[in-house]
Amino acid sequence: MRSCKDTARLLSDSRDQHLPFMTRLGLRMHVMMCRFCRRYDHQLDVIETVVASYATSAEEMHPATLSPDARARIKESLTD
Amino acid sequence: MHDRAKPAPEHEATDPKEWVDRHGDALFRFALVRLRGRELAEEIVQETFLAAFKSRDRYAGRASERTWLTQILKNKIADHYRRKHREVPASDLVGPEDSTDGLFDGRGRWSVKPNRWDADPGALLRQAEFRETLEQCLGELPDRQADAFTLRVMEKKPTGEVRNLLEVTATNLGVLLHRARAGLRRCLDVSWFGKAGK
Repeated sequence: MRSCKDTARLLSDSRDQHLPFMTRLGLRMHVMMCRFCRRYDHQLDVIETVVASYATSAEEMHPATLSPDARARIKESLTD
Repeated sequence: MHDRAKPAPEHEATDPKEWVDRHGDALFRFALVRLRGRELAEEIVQETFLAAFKSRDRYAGRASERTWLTQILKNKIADHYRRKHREVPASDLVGPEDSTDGLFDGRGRWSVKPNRWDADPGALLRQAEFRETLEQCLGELPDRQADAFTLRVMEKKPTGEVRNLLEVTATNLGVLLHRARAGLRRCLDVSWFGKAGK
């Protein structure tokens, strides 16, 4: 049986690459039987979703603004 | 990525100085979450406006101004990563920081067991406090891990492209992403989910 440590690594890899069939099968079996790896797998899903939406919604949702200095500097630079 | 507030006009008047007022903050925020540094984000936004200014004759008005500028910004961000990682010595590809240290015992079993997360991702992101925690946790990742994670998970770039931008092997990229995920998970577990009342 594969260890939880190796399983955690494979749960990351499975999000970036296509794993061989037997590896995937073993991974699914382990996750099915192991509560903590199941939680870890779920939490990686939450993270992917949350981070992706955080990035796509930043334009509207992030409170930061361009500093007045930078704004002026940029405008200044836009001349022929 | 698109301006959802109002539909893009067919053709927009383009006084370049007005671009800065109209799109500056949005582009800055876009850059900030992907570059994790105010100064750097400002610099890249400035480069973006300059590049747009120089190529304004070629902007046909087919896409909205915002979409056009955002596309230039995306390219500038990719350029930044390419430049940055070309300069890093080859011996320093992965780095010693390993967020999975101490997570498992000698036999590879969990020694710090993952807690339950009762989380609805949509609801989480509506909380400004959570967004701040997430930003802080992303900021605490070691630089290379954060870069790999940003390109792969925020930008959803294919792994091959991330490898090229960061100039790492497939194995090293796997290590970086695994450590980034584990580190971010740990940080959120401690700073958000582990706190009562959240």
